[in-house]
Amino acid sequence: MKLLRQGKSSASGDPSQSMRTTTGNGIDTSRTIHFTFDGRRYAAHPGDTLASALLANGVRLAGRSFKYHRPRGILSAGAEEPNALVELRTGARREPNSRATVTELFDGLEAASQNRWPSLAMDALGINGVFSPVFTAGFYYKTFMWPAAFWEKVYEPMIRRAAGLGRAADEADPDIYEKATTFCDVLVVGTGPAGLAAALTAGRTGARVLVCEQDSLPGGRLRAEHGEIGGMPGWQWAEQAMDELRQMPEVRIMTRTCVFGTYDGGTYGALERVADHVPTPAPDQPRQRLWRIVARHAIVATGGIERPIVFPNNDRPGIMLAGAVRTYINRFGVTPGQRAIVYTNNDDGLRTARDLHRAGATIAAIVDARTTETPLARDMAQLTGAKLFMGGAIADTYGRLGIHAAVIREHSGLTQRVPCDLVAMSGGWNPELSLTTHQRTKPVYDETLCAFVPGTMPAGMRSAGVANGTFATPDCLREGTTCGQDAAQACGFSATVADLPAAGTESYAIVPLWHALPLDRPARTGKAFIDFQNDVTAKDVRLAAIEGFRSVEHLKRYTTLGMATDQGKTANVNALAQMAEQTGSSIARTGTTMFRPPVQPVAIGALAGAARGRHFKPDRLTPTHDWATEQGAVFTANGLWHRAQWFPRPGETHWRDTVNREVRTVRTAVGFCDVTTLGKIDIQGPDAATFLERVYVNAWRRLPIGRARYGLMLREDGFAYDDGTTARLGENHYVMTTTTAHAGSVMQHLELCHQWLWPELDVRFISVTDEWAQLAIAGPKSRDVLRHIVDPAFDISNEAFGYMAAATVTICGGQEARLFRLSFSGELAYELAVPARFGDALARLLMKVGAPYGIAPYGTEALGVMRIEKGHPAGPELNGQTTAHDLGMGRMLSTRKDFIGRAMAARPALTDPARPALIGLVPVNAGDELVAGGHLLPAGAQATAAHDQGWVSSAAWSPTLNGWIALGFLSNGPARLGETVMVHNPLGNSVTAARVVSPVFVDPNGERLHA
Amino acid sequence: MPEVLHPRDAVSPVPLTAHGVTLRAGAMRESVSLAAFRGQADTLRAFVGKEFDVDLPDTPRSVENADGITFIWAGPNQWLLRAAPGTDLLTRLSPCAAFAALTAQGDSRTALELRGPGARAIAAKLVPVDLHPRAFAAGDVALTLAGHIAVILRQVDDTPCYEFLVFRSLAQSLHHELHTAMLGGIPQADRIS
Amino acid sequence: MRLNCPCCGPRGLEEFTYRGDATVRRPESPTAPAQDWVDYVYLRDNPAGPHRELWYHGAGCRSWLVVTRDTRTHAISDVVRAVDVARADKEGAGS
Ligand SMILES: [Zn+2]
Repeated sequence: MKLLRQGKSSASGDPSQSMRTTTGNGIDTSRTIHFTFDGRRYAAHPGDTLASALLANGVRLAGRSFKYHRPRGILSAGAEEPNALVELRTGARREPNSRATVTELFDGLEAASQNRWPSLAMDALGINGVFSPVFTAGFYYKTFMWPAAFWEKVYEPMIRRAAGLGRAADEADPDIYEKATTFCDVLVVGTGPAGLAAALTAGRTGARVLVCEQDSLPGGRLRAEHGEIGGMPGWQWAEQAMDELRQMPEVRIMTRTCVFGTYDGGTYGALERVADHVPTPAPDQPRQRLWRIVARHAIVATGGIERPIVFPNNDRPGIMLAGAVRTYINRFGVTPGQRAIVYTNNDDGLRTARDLHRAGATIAAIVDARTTETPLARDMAQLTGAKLFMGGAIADTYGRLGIHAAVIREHSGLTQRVPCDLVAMSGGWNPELSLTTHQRTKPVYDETLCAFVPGTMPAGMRSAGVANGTFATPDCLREGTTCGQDAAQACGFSATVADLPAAGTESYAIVPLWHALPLDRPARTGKAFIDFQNDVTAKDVRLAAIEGFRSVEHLKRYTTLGMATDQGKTANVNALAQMAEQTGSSIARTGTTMFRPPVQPVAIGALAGAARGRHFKPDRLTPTHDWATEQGAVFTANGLWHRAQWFPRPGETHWRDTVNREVRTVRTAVGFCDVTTLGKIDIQGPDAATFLERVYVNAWRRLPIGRARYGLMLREDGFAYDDGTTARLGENHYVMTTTTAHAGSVMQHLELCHQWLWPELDVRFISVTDEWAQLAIAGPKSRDVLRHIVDPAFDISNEAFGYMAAATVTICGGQEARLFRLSFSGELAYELAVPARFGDALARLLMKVGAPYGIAPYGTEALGVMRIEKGHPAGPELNGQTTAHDLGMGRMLSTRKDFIGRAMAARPALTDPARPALIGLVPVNAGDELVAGGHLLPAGAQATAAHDQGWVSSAAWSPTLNGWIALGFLSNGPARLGETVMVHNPLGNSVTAARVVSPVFVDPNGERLHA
Repeated sequence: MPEVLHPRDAVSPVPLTAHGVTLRAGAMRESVSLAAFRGQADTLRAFVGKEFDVDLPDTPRSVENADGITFIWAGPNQWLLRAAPGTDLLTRLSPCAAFAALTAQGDSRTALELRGPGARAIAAKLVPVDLHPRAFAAGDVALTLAGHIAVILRQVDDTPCYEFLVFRSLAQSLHHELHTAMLGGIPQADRIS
Repeated sequence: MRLNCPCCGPRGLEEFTYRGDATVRRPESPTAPAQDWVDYVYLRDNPAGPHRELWYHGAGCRSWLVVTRDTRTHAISDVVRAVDVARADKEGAGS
């Protein structure tokens, strides 16, 4: 650690940022901002990530590992980071498991390490490392099996405490998220040389191009390297290219936007981090925006991810990916170490020595796994003065909270200990091809590149640059240009390709290196990590192979490899290469697991968007909603609808007082209720009656104009589906009502019947549910009230407008309305429909003109009580398991016509009289409560399934009968009136004796209906 | 003396503005659905052509005649007509009753208008169809969703202005969702100059 | 997934409702053999490959559609209006 404090004076002039040794192309050193990590305050510059700022301040220890609580530092400089996971912010905005490497720093950011106690440097659970044999591959399956009772009480809490990640916020997320859909001809993912070349080429054709860059700055690896394009530093060329793209009217650019998934039909998911880089979003500004992108063509130019090298104790803070080291130097002006070892199997890694040297670091050694010395290796060693170990390996490392020495094993087998504070390692690059595999198109292994490259591509997708296995910058530019041209052309835009800018070619020249030491001689000490986030080691992979978990899918699940939040971005290829070696197979034959969306974690909040809390789903409001609110109504949800449940009045202390009063009002005077929510479908056409005959069980041909009829619909399997009344308004004109619950599905059903089953029928439908405000006006005085509203030209006397009459009338001096004499309550009742805009006024008018008659509004609860009293089936009776026979409507089934469900309803099992059928129940002991859901048993029978003879479907306190009543289904029920059965309620553990009665409790002869 | 019924708006008529986009509930209009009976579409088209001097569109579009009556494609062989109050559409259409279903729809749908240079970007937060001028122009219609709510969407002009015809019972919810989308601002990719 | 409605154009999955097999047809008569009804109501093949299915454009034009979808890849090779298929079938059967 001492070494770290000896950094040379900083380029930024801020003494606290001791490792800020040069200027970077991505930071603004003219300004200094501050942040805290584990409570300590540090300085940084705008443009820093949390990781670069920590490194600038000499902080190497960033977290503790998942299983073993090993001290971990910063491995990468990108989205693949497995180690440096931190908690950001505090309170409701506390966000765990955030990758420090992609966290844009802002002034005042509070960050904290996680998975440690009491402190990061002094972690009590580091002892897990001592007990590590317990945590080897398959430990979930082996260790915690016995005794079973220990799982919940001991093991699970222990694992949760010990092997956790960060803490989620324990308050509701205060931020706003939103979603949007966008379309383009060509989607370009990534703004490295390939992506920019593609975007420029496609953009110049006039095609609609959408460019997504997950970073805040364009350029990709161009920001991390020295290479030039078009005679200027690559990152400058990238910024110029972006400027040109911004000038193109049909090119749209989204930075800080990660395209995280490829879906069917050219659909992509992307997450735009709108305000993650500021302390809090502006008022009303969304924190993140979830995009659904529909693209005719997509170009995946997502670059690559570098592989670590698997060697013992390769996880100490200060051991980093070589490419990340160059990123910190060139983009952020941070030199992550002063005395470095470069360990590589390829030329790209070698060049890290040059960048470190230029930044002023000492290169202690260059360890090149390749056995033959190359001119580049020799040049690098000469330039930096480093000792070169061709064919060498790192055999071990030292340093508890940060590396301070490495053991280098020469090709000859001799070892030597070399002090260092940084190891820059490169095992080669994996093309970042996740997006190309989400549609289950498999990548293929390329022996020359030692990596998987995209194989068959999904329709409309191309890949370019490193993502496609193309490494040299001129090749990336050329490939991007070709892809952009082809994609635009495929969308009908012709491209003239501009000359490519000049760029230097740098060699790659990789050899396979899947482990530093031969596998048959495992180091006695020192874990060689493959998956840093899930703490999976080379030994675990070996164990999985020995125990027979050899397919990549088994390997993954047995060892948890690749199952952490980073999805094994740095781990998978090393692991399956080792598995291939263990099993004597090739990598190509061993295969790779497929990637699944999202490529990077997506917050649930972003997926929910604005559909949260009260706005989770839309609200449907009835025309009388505002009036009912004024009346103090209590509302209930009925699907999307909000319906008045009851209308409490002062002095009523329990909702049942209110409901009882509302029921009595209807039964003795008059009440009204908004029934707009019932589905209303306008049906017209020469074949309308025939059509009704086909969808309802009963006959319709003879229904006269001006009359309504109750209808029952079955499903094709013969069970009851929906019911309601349909009125005939004209020769070929009907209006159907459905239940509130099935309004949408009945419409869909009718369309299917018409378009698919009987296209020869000439009939049309349209929903008029919203067109009409429909109020039920019920009670012996309902006609008296209506006489004040319906224009006198219309005779609504019982003689002229009897039960089930339907007519178009005018009210209030000429306003068109529809009047139906229908009753759900069993009383003299009407339903009056007015254009919805007048619904509110009609309610107010009813209150006024009805006052002398004692009118009161009633809600759905009183409606429910009254329909039970009258024995009308509703949702609990039409539950999808009951037939027309069960409902006592068997005689309605016509045998003179075809209708939906007729054939299947005739099956013997569906007409068996032993089936439970609708009956009424009253308690034998007055005052006993009947509960819906209770099972019906013969008197004296044991409460067993064998004795189960039916169930209670609906129950209510009846103020009319002054006792509990219920509807239910009882085997052979209609033949058992008068019998006593037991209502067994297993939830309340009660048994109540009940007498079987007719389901019609009120006015069984229908005298009130016809009054 | 009979009581007069006063109409009530489904949503507040007060316009709301954010980020240069204005949301306004349209005035109530007469509206009638016209659905041709089987094999009668040409007869209906001929009648409408003669009576209203307009060609009924066969694709998701709308046309307006000289009297300001809008004819909106609303599905195969089905149209929604919207006109100023007092037009008495049903009477003018009554000769159609022999070959088309006529259904009053004036109270079924509420019109919500989203207008302003950023209206397209705001609409894209709710509407999953391509509204780019190359794909969707003034007069074009889409029967689609706005969030979870089914709408008839129509581009009124090139401001752009979009009209959302939403079921009256859902108008308040859609109004809220549109306003929320407006407050969220114009995304970076859609900078409106 | 996206379906190209013949009336409305390409739309996202959320506008549609899936029903199922479009290859089974309702028996012509309620007195058809019971086995025909059982086949129609309950029995479905589950092919791996192209399959004809009924979808409903409920949030759009309310057309029922016959969609040919490869069940392995979700590739949609054909979308036509169900009413046209049904009419053609009936006319074919009638001639
Ligand atoms: Zn459609």
